[in-house]
Amino acid sequence: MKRGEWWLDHRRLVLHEPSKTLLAADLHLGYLAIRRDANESVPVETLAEELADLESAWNELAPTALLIAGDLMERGTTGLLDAFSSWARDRKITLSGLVPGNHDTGLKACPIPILHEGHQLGRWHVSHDGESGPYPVVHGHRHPAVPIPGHGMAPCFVFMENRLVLPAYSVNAAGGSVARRSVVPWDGAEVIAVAGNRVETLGSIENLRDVLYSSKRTRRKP
Amino acid sequence: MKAVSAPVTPVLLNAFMAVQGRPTPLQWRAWECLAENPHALISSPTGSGKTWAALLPILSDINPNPTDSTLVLWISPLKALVSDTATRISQFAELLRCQNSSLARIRVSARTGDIPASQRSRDRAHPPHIWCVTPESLAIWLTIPAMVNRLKNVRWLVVDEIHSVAASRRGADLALSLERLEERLENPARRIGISATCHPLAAAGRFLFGPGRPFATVECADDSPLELRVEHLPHEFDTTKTILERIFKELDHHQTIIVFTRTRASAERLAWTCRKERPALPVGIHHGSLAPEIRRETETRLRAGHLRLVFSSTSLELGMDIGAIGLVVLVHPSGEVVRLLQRIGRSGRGPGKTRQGLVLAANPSELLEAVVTATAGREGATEALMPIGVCEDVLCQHLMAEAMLGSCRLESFLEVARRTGPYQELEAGVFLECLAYLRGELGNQQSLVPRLRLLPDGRHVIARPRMKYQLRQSLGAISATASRKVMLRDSTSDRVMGEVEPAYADALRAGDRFLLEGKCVQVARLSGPDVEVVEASRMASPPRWTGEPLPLSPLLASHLQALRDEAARIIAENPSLLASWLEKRHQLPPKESSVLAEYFISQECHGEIPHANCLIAEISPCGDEWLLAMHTPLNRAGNEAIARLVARRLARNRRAAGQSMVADLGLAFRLEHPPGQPAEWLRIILKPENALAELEEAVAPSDLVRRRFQEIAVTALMTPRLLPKNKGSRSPKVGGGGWVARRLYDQCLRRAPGFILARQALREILMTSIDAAAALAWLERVACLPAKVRWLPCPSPFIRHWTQLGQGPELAPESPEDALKNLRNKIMGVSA
Repeated sequence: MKRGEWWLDHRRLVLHEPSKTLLAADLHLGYLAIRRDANESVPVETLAEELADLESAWNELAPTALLIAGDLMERGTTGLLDAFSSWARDRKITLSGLVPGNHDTGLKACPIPILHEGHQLGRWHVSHDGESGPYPVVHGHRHPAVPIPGHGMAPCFVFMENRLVLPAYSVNAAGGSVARRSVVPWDGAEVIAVAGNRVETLGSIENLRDVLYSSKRTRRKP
Repeated sequence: MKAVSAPVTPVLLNAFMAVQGRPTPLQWRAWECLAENPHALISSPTGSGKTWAALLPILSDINPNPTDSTLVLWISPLKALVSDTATRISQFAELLRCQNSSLARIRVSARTGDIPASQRSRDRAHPPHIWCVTPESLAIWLTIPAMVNRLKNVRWLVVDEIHSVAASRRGADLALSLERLEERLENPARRIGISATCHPLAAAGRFLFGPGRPFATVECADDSPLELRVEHLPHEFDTTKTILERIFKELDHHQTIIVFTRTRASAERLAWTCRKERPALPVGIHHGSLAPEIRRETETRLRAGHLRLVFSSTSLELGMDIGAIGLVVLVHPSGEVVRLLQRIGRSGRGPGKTRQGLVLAANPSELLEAVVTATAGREGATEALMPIGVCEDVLCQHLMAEAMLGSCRLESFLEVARRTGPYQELEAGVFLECLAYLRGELGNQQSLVPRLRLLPDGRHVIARPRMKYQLRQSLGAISATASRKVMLRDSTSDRVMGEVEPAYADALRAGDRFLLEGKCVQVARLSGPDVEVVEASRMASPPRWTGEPLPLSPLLASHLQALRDEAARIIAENPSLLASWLEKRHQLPPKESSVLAEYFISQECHGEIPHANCLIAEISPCGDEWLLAMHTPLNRAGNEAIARLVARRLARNRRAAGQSMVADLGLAFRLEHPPGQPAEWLRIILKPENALAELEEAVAPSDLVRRRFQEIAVTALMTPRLLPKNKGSRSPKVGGGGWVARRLYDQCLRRAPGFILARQALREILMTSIDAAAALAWLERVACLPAKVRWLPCPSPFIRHWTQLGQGPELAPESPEDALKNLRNKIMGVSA
């Protein structure tokens, strides 16, 4: 689905069409490894498995560069940065860089360009949390999601004239419901949800909240 | 094993009679039984002397020269009961000794998670002869070789309140602990089970003694007089005040009243309002989310007769001594006959004393349920005890515990487990799957972090030594959810009031108010895990605690259906006879029998009284939608199964949309459009063919099963109960508290579709939250019955007053893409 300069992809990332830059946020790589380190008996997941959707999007959309809008890792480790860099190199993926997020610690001697001040894609500024300008800003951090009847929470994009919020790329991230103002505090935002291979607009956040809250109200006695 | 002990020795008997008076008939019979049988199960009502019935033969056996070691383990399900029992036994043994100094001084102690370090040191230096413990403390001991060694001389194993654990996972845990302990004793122990009235008693016995130990039962029915009243208490405005005004009237006749509510929140609301209405009245509150100190204080004051009213949810049901209670009031029916009798048994307390109970019903539907429950209670028709079966996660925990006692050949544990009641039919394949999981295998691959390592010589050892501490923290079969403590800050001291659930705490802000301990408190600070509060004075709501409402038992559901059938028959003959029939048959006052008669007649006029020989459904407009409701003879769990099956079948329609509701005795669907030919539609969606397979497919990915999997994963030590707070090890929060349910479940099934812990989760849900067996049996029956569909202007009275009504599964298309498209169309107001 297209919105302005952006192609919103069902694999939970976006393509900035003018610069042909693929943008993803909140990958939280190494999540399972950290739980395993904490001695939880959870399955092994390889980096390739975690990045399968990203690789598929790269091959299909044919961008020229990949930019990460923060929280590339669940917890910063040099080993993981090297592994990610090798993964990209093996697939001939050009890494524009990483705008560091709150989870991206230990970035010394990083093989990837670190963009502490964010990055500019055309008129859009890329940051991790979008808390301050310049605007328009594209960012992650909030993990917006919407409840789909019978199917749990679906990741979603939130789009306005001067802001684009990306869903968490990581399937391990718990989504924050867009019904909560703490997740989407901006009036007039458009919510665009992803389910399976479908991307659908759900209209304005106000309208969506009305529908979600009225569903709760109808669960009353006959 | 041959019984070796004599009956109660003359010395002890004389001392007992000097202290206590003549033994009760139950006590005589128990002592004779234990003189001839190595193991016994004693079952009788509260206050009939069960504890001394079990204790005297034990004291006879260990007197006059008890060795300097632990000889008796006395296991009770609650910490409070453990402490209470230890105190009572200790005091009683000392009283006996005062009568005759030739009796040895018997050391008695308690061990729970709350026992201070000083007591533990004393017990280490001088092991108590009789040790009162919880099942969880015993489980922890059975991971410590030194502790196991200290218990090797145990001669008696007593399990108290056995009816409260036999049907639960704690029972499976306890059964394995007892058998593992037996393996390490110098000599086989004798077992005594103590139970309130339950049936069949043989089932409780098989649970405790296993298939290989012959046992005898000593049973004493409760023939103490029972005065049980049922009252309709209609309220239009303030339920709480209406209930309290009714209860206050009873204070003129009874010194102390316990009020049982359905939920902790109700108990809080009533206690707070009561204190506001009658500030001078000594009132207490008791439930599982209050701090143990508060509960102990309430119990002490109750025992001493200092409280006139106590509001409780379920925590005062079990047998700790709370003194003489004049009346037990139930606000809303109890859901089970056993629960009703257990609660009312707290009054009177003693052979020959009258048990007095009053059940208040808020509407005709509750009144109907209360009437049926009361009648069944008077007639002694109680639910059958269904002892727990194989719990794979509990087995995994015990396999780990065995390995922690030293490297061993765990394959031999299969036979040990099979000697217990719950695991007597444990399949070798299931056992080996548990071992494979613990070795880190998932789908024939080494995918998981192993808990056990297999050595070349066939022994299993703990895979990583640092796991031992972590595993001891996680032991026990109780799925403890991490709660947040509520700390009261006042001018003199800070204290813990109780706890609230994490989801509730996370939504709190400074200044928010809620009720706890029957007081209004205001959030002062949210720092770290705790919620700091100060007392406030304005009205507030109680917190939300999940998983509380007590389900209607299948037995009562069938009794309700029988009453409906009979009422329909009488109305067909002569409606004016119904009230008097109800009065006579169910011992109802005229007012209540009139209310019920009017309820039945209204249903018959408005729609039809559902009866067992016909499927009756109603369709009525409901705002912009239509309500299609079905009357069934099933409780809520059975109707939940039907709703999920129907939702699954409707999901094949890509435009399926709507919401189901489930209740006791019925279920309903809110639909955008009613079906064109509803009778035919019902036939199709309720056909029994392939129903079980479709129901399993529907339920397997549901939140119910995922949440159960999350609990099982903790018990089976897949994920820890508490994440470690070691330096450099931060708990990964981005997944949230539900990550195990939301993601790990899918990841395991993707790699191993038959993963044993996932299978366990599905099986347990299909037996408990969703009564698949009852639903499938009903579908088979209904397929042969005529279906009647009535179009009504509004739902009939029975449906308007459904009890335990809650949200069922949403009706949605099978594919998430179609579900998203439907949501979009709904929001955009676009017709599909």
